[in-house]
Formats: sequence, structure tokens, C-alpha cells
Amino acid sequence: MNTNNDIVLKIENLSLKFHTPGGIIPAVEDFSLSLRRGKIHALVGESGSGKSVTVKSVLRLNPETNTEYTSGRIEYIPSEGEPIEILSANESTLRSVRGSKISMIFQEPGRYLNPVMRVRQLLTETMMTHLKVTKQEALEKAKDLIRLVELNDVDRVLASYPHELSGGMKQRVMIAIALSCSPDIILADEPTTALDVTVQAKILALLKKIARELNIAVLLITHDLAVVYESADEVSVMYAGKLMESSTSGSLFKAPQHPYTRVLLGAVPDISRRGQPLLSIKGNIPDSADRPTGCIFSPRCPEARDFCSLSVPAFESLGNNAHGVACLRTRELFRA
Amino acid sequence: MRSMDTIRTIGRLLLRLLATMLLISTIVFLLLRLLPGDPAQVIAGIDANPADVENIRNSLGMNGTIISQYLTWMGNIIHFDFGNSYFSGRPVSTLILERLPVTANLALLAMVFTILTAIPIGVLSAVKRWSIWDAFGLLYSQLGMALPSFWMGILLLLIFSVKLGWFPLFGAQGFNSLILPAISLGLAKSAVLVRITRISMIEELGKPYIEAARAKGLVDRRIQYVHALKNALLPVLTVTGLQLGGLLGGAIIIEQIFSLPGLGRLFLTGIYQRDFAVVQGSVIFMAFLFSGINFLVDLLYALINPKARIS
Repeated sequence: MNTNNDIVLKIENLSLKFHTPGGIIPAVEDFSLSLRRGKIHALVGESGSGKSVTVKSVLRLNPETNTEYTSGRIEYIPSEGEPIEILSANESTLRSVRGSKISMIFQEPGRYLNPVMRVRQLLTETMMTHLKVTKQEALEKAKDLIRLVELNDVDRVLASYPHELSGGMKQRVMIAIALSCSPDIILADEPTTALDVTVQAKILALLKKIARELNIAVLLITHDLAVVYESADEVSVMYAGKLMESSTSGSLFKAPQHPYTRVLLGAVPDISRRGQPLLSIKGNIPDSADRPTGCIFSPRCPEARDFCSLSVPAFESLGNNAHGVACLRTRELFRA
Repeated sequence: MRSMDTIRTIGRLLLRLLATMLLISTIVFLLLRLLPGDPAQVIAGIDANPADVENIRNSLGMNGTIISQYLTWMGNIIHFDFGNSYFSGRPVSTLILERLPVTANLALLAMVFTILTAIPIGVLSAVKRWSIWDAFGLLYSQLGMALPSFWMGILLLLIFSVKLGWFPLFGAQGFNSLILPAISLGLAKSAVLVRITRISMIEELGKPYIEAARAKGLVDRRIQYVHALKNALLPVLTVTGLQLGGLLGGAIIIEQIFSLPGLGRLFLTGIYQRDFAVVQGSVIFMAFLFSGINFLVDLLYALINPKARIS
């Protein structure tokens, strides 16, 4: 089922650094990930783990003046035509991909929609940039899109300014904009974090429906494991800019291999442990100026051994191809 | 629903305009009566006989109880009647209307100059930040703010009227005679507006919706001049409105330098001659003009900023 034809985006060994007045910060190191058509791939990690940076790299939205892509490739593979390597693409190629083939939705829809533009204009401008349509055609399509994201009262929504809509409605508008040019990929940067729990569930259901019915690959960034459990087909776990574990969602929740993943799962409140203290992970994500040697998680790892701080674990698949992990201890146990 | 909002906004602004005008009229009325000294006596001179003083007092509307004076005063203002000039004997409102076109044209031309220079320079500075363009913008605004407008006026007169002879030296002789005064009047405003445009634009360009616009694949020009500029213009517009009011004040000095027969000259001559009716009338009229302009600016602001319509 997972033939290579399904793959629409490949991030391979991506490393990038930020140049800041305080020095050079390695934000992402040796990160790989593939997206498949019609599937939701969740990228999980704590705040500051480099999730957003990674996802923005796919559209090269990180500020070019201080971002240095030190190695790796990001390859977008359209169903027709030649693959496009994003990191080496020129500005006009990038623009033709952005919003058209690969689109993005953001965490706080209220801040990411221009406050002085009506929904109608926000929707049609993307289509008129990328598709050869007249204003009238774009407007007709805008109405269809508003219905597609399950908003009623189409004309009123189109005539509204963002602040006249609720948070959930704004996120639906954002999704409609993302869908307007029939993209292959949607990057969703914490799309439900700023929303009420009930609205969250509806937005996730909508994303799922879109992925399935329109055969779109969704890269869903989140720190919320409940969101992953509910919606993702595949999961990658990120820690301090590095890939820790990657697997299908079922396999990861059933048998997490990386101690970090296990700790992360343990930190989710569970009704059956009512009355007991909530588990938390001791310590913080390491300061980028003072990174530990060996495995980057080893200082906080409950299962760390001496050798963990000596060498950096490579990311390797375990037995079958689908489940991979970057942990010396796990490999030791797996081989034994 | 939307048009209801608009009507309510206009209503609210109109109400505020009327309240301001009422307050201004009352304050000017009180000022003349609370200040020490008797204006009628001042006009007539110390040696004047009491009958003359009484006559002048009558013509100033300063007889009877304070309440009846106030009511007459307000009634006259509603009819645009500010009394007669003591010296020329003509109605102050006629004098004002005669002089108004010169000042209004001067202020408008100065405003046009301000907007046409400040917005492009400010936007260019912001878009090409830390470039030679930005340095030019900075220099322009520093100089514009540092040089006094009367000095600018004299300098421009020397160069363009005396040496080059491109513009008339004094007097109101059509459009040509307003260009130099408008530039000297507008330069300082323009200098301030450049900074405000630049800062506002830089702030907007750093906002999340700009990142979203980039993610949509829009060209930089559209992102800068449609998405960012539309938001950046809101504070610029507010300041422009306030500046337009300030231009009326600035016109008083500039009209002296360029010998333009405008409102400023009328006002100043009124002060020199102790022509109370003229001074009062000019003050009220300029204050009304200022409020009226602010009303229009607020209206325009509500028109381009959807959020201002409801609050």
C-alpha cells in the first residue's frame, strides 16, 4: 500500500542553523521525513524542538537573511512533471509552489489573516495569482470553498472581515484559502492550539476529511498527543532539532521505542491515574549554546546508560521499514 | 447590518463634532468676559466718553445679563454672524470668507505636498531598510524637522524667486504663488510623516499575516503595497489629519513671509488693531475648521479600518 508513488514530499537529512547576534544556533539537525498523498503525518515535540522551523523550511519561509541551510534536500514530487528541490529553487519557482502546490495554515488564524481585507479578497487573490481565472470565476470558486470547509451563510462570510468571525470560522477560512489552488500538500502549524476543545475536534475532523477526499498530504505540527492519536496516520517525534522516532501512528502508540516518546506519552494526563501526581519530564530542552555530547536527550533520559553520552545515535529502522528510532539503548535491546 | 454600523458611526462622529463646536463657542465667549479689562474701553481708549464706550459695548454684544449675552452669541454663531469689524465696519464673516480661499488652498497644497513626499519616501525607507534609500529618508526627515518653516520660506524665496525668478516674490497671483509657501509649510510635516510611515510600515511587515501572504505565493510588491501598506496607512492617516489642523496655524507665519492675504493675515491684523470681533471670529472659525477636518479624517479612518466601525 505504501508504494513510493504515494510520496509527495521528501525531507532528507535537513540541517539548518540560525545566525543570531548571540551566536549560531543549530535549529534542525539531520532531519528526515516523507509525506504521502491522502495521509496525515504528525510532527510532535515540545515547544522549541524545531517543529515550526522544519515545516517553514518546506516553503523556505524562515527569514533568509539569518537562516543557513547547511545540508540536506527537500524534494517536492508533483504527480506530473519534474520533482522540485526546494532548498535550491529560485524565487519564482518557490512562489509558484507556495500557496499553490504546497499551502500552509497557522496557529492563530486571527493574526495570520490580514485585518483590513475581506474574506472574499483573501480567498480570490491566491487563485488569481496562481490559476488562470477571472475575478468572477475566482469568486464562484470561493463560494464552493466556503461550503467545502462547512461554513454556512456563504455570502456573509465572504463579505466579512476576519475580526467579524469566530476563531473556528477563521481557521476554516484559512483552510479554504489553503485549499483554493488544489494543493498536494498542506502544512498545518498547530492549527488547533488556539481553539476551544470542541472546535478543535471539528477542525481536526475537517482536516482528516480533506486529506482523505481530496488526496492531500497533511503535515500536522502539534505538541498535543491527543490530536495525534485522533488524526494522524504517521508520526515523527522531534526533540531539540533532531528526529527521535518515526512510525505509523498505531505502532507508535502501541509500542513506543524511544524513551523520549515513552516519557512524552507518560506525561499525558490519564483518567485512570486519577489522584496520582501528573508525570512530567525533568529538566528542559538543552540550551542550543550548551548542547550535551552523545545523545541529545541523554541528560534527561530515565533509561540512559553510560555510553549514551559518548556517541550520537543514528536514526535507524527497526526490523520493518515503518518504525525507526534514534536511540543506542533501544538498539542494544533490539539486537539482544 | 453593515450599513447600520456605518450610519451609527457617522452619527457618533457627528455628535462629537457638534459637542466640540459647542464647547469651542462657549470657551471663546467666556474668555472675552473672564479676562481682566473691558474690551470696549480698550477699543475706545482711556479718554473716550462713556456714551461711546457703551456704543462699542453694544456692538460687541456685551450688554445685558450674561445668560442673554450667551444666547445671543450662540444664536449669532448658528447664523454665521460674528459681528462687524470695528475698523472696516464690514461683517467679520464676509472678511473671513474673502480670505479663506487663499489659506485653504495653501493648506491643501501643503498637505498634498506632505502626502506625496512622505508616503513614498517612508515606504521606500521601510521596504529597503538599511539601504541608501533608507539613509536618504532619514536625512530628509532630520533636515525637514530641524529647519524652521519661516527660514525655509525665506531660503526658497531667495533661490527660486529672487535668483531664478521662477515664482512671484509676493502676493496671491494664482497657483504659482502658492507653491513655495506650500513647500515651506509642508516640509516639516512631511519630515514627521516620513518617520511615521516608515515605522508603521516596518511594524506591519513584521506581522504574522505577512508571513501568511508569503506562504500564499504572492509577489513581494503585492505583499508590501497591498497587504502591509493598507494597514500601515491607518496611523499615517490619523497623524495627517492632525497635521492638517496644524497647517492652519503654520499658515499664519508663512502668509506673513510670502505676503499672502489669507486668514492668518486677517487674524494677525485683527490682533494688532485690537479688533475683537475679527479676532473672535477668526479663532472660532479656525477651531470649527479644525474640528470639521478631524471629523472628515475620522470618517475616512472608519472607512478603511473595519475595526473602527464598531467600537
